[in-house]
Amino acid sequence: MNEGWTRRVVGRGWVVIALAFGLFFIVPLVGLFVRALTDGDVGAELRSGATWEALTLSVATASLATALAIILGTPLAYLLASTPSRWARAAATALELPLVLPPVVAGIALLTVFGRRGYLGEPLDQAGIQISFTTAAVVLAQIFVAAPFYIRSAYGGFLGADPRYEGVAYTLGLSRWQTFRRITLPLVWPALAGGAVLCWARALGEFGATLLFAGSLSGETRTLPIAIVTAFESPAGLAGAVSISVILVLFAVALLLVLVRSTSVRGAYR
Amino acid sequence: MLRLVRLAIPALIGLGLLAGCSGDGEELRVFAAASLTDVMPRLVEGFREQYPSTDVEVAYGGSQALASQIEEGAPADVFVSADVLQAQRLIALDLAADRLDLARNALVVAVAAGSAIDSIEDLGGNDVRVALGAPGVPVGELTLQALAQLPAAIAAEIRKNVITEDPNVRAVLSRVELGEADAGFVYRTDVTSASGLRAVELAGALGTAPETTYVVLSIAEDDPPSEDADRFLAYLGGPEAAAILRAAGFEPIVRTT
Repeated sequence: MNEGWTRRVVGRGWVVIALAFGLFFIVPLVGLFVRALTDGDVGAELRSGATWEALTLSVATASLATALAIILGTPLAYLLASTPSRWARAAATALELPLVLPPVVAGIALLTVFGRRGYLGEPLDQAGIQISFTTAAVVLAQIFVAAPFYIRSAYGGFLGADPRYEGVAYTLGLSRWQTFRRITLPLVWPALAGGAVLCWARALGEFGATLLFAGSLSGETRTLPIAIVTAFESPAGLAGAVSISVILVLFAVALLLVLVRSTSVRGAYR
Repeated sequence: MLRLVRLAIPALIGLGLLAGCSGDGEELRVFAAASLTDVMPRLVEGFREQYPSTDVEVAYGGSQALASQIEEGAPADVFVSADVLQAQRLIALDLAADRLDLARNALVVAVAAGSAIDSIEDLGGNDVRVALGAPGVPVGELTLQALAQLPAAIAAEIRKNVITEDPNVRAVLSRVELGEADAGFVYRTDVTSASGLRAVELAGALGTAPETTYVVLSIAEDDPPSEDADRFLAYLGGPEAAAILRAAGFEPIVRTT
């Protein structure tokens, strides 16, 4: 009796804590929307050419960064996961380091290589090729900061995939590529899709490394997060910043919903 | 590393401020424009020599951001704005008790000490990279004024060389410090406080250089401002503060009363 009662209270306490924690994430976002609707002018921002330029630039660069993360990150994650060596594990850990770097530091790191006086940037500059402060720099910054989310997830997926399935496929006469496409890929698909969504979301929100490495020019390098901070420091202030933020949040939610639906686990095994 | 810290400060405005709110009544909380990062500690030091029992805590940020935070209820006793507009905003909201016009700061072009750039016209040259503040941001608006005073053809040449329109002046300065830009439109004091940089004055080419006025407000929403805030304003208006400000490149405003 007594024990059952305790368990019920503990059980309820657990639910209360879980719900309260959920509210911790939801209430600030609701506050942002309320703020934007009362103080801000979301309609005016939506009609503003500068906001659209920033939004399309953000979506285009984040999508390109994610595509490159998938194309280049998948073989890397597969290689690391299928190499049974201490060095491969160490390399996999090292690839997660950008996750702990403050983005501003990531921006400095990129400048040391691709900046005008960087190891590669300087010779390229003399050859007439500029990387920093271009749209390419926006994409590079996003890849540097966001691709580790994808690689990490893909690496975990490949590690968890039972190699015996691949072995059986080989004995049944499938080629390496056929095995990868028909056996391994479906097994790790949820990990790849989840990692890609995380990577895209992180790239879309990227600010610190982008501002430092790519600067802020409307239509070229001023992504939506940079436009938000610029608005915050201008007379439009908070009202302008929250209005653009709401557009970013709405757009991200809409796209994430579409992505999650189209890459759901159920769909993956179809 | 110092550069990094400087860059991080404007980028992280808000976070530190919001986390630093404490209810201690013995402390004077000053919200100061980011361009005062170097001179404010010296002013605080001079003030504390006279009033050693008062602890002064300073938070730095863009004037606009700080004004927004004060409007949101951030616990500031004194606000030093780099921009008359933001001070006027708080006055209009009845958040300010007293106002003191502190000093002026002129817009200049920051270049590397060894740079060949000698006048604003040089910024339109081939292969010159220019950083400036975004339109709407105080330093960006001043820069627009400066460019508007130039012959249109020269202004157009300069515009072609712009690589970034940054959200705040420290970001602009960092471009020149890191060598990513050859020139950046910043306040004179930013150059005074940075090493390895030189200021190209605009007064010669433009007649009068655009400048900004720093305004000090004592913040008082319901109660009158604290005694400490009154004392701090009095100190900032005095001759010692004027000397410190002048040494840092500001133009203290001489009071006639």
